[in-house]
Amino acid sequence: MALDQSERRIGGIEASLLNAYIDGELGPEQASEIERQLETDSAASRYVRQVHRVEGLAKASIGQVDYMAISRGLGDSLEALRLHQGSQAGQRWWQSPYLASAASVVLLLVGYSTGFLSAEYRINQQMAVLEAARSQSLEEVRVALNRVLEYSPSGEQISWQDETGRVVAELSPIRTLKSRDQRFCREFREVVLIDGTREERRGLSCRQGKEDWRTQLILTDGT
Amino acid sequence: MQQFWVVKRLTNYESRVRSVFLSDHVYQQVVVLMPKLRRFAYGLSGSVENADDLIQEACTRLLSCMSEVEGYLERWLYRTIRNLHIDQVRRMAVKSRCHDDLAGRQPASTDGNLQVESLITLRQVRDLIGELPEDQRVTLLLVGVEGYSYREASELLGLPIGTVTSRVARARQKLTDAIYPNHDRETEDLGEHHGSGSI
Repeated sequence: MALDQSERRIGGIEASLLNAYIDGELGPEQASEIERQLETDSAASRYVRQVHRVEGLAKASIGQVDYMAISRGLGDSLEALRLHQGSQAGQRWWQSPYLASAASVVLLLVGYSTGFLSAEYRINQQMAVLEAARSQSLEEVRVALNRVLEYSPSGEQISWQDETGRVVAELSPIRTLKSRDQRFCREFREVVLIDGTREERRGLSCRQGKEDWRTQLILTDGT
Repeated sequence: MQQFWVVKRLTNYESRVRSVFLSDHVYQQVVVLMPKLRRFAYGLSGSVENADDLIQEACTRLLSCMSEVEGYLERWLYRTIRNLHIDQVRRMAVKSRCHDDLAGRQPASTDGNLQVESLITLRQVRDLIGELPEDQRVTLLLVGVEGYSYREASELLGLPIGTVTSRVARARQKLTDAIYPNHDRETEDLGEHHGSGSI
């Protein structure tokens, strides 16, 4: 590949070449040569470690937006795009008979961060215990949602409840999409009733593996 | 005259069919791309609200030029979001001068001391990215954060690959200089502290 012939070097390695190595842009021979040099070039190897750490943090930081629901305005714009399809024009998909007739339900909480963050505000042991139970319940809902996304056709509504009956969820795949790299993604809606609180969420989840789906976008989120 | 009408009706029909097909296609692509677009817009603008506004405006424009972007949707979206953001920054710059140059500056939120790398938060890293010059930030977000190859990034941005590589290099140098001001020190423990990050 053509590289910028910058004069700047990190340790003994040209900066652009070292960055190309970090980004996996080099062929195997060139990469091996860089790795050989890194064994003895402490400044260059330190730079590689630093870049990996900083960009790991950058990904984690910027990735937090994945857990924040999109604005109503953006949701409306997406809907306007979809309605261009014509065949379903005039009917907003969340007003479809499938969903309109559905019992109110459930939730979820895409697990990860939100549950953990909310725990920080718990100030006594009892609340902490309840929170732990809630997190476990939500994790169970997440597993149930994975199964629904894996096996249920779009438009179907699956009811789920935990063993105690304390948590009830209604899970609905809405439509299936395919990304350019041929990965399957599905829009879904979930309503969770947990300890009398109703939480509803629409989102986009993409398949990572069998019964392994990752929510990548929250279209609406509310109680 | 009659022939003209037939041709026109056929053209309209074709256009309608084309529009129906394309919109379905476009909607799918936009939704599937949305997580990447949001991270990109969030990294550019620094707030979720601004990010969603940028994407919303891009989607609105897309509605009026859907057939023209066939085959170029991804790059069109990225470029539109970038251009909208730059327009916004320029408008704001009229009111307050924009500081682009990170070099030689210490992040204000750290009392001028980022040498204790273990204390760095996710927010601080994001702020540092926000202080990069626009062109470097855009490139770093695509390559360093989203993992696009240099060739893909060059196509998305309409830049030569050499420009992409040099911008990535400059952006990284500024970030590492800011976080690791003392290059003689080994700093192995930064990655262990994701948990201390804050939004």
